[in-house]
Amino acid sequence: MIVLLPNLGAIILGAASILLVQRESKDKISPYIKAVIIVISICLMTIATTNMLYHNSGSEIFVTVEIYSMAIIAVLWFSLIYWVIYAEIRKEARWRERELEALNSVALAVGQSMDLPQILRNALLSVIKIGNFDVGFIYLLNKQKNTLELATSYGNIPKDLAEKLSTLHLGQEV
Amino acid sequence: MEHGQLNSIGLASNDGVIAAFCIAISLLVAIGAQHLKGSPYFRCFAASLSFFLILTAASVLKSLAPKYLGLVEHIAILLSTLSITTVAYKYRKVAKELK
Repeated sequence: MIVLLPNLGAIILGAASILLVQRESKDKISPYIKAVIIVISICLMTIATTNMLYHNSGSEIFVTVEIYSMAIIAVLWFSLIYWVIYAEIRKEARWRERELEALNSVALAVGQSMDLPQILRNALLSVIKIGNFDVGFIYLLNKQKNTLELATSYGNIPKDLAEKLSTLHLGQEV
Repeated sequence: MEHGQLNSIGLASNDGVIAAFCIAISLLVAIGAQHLKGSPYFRCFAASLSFFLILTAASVLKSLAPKYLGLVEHIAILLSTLSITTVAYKYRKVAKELK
């Protein structure tokens, strides 16, 4: 009973996993996950089956099958871990590249003119372009009035909203 | 591993090292999984791998105490498969949301 129940449970769960992923044709986020789930489930089901059969018959062939299943799972898992780490490193590298590109672009835009409104406009446009934003604002702090005054903006903003956003008090919610 | 399982007499000289290595990696995977945020599946995969390594360690050392370590082995395989089923369930959920 001790041998039968957990192994039978593992076989049922493995079959359920395969059925769950088989019904769905596509996953755009992780195309390899489906294959990994199916192979790992089959290997775990094989281990559970050979465990049960070995306890019943004592035949050495089941131990050999169990060992090969374990080896396949180990290789699969380490490939998955490698894939995860590689994806993380690539993501980090892409993020840093974008960050440098943004800084470079803003620096170039600022250096193109000596006129402050033009500098702000160029800087805003480069940030909008890199971030792929629809709207953008740059505010300058008026220390005497303790307010933020709109220096430049980009995008289609309704008139009444533009008026409301032209001057902001510090700490005011937009 | 084969020696320990087939003969049930005693451990080979390196079986203890293999088992300790499996347990150490299992703990490392469990701790490392706390930092995985890239995909909804990774944590469950890590849990499954962790249980699989415990299963391997129990299988290697089974000749020491066949009854208890056999039980650990069976429970570990059940938990490992359960984690994979969780991944499959999450996969199906994500695939449905994308439709």
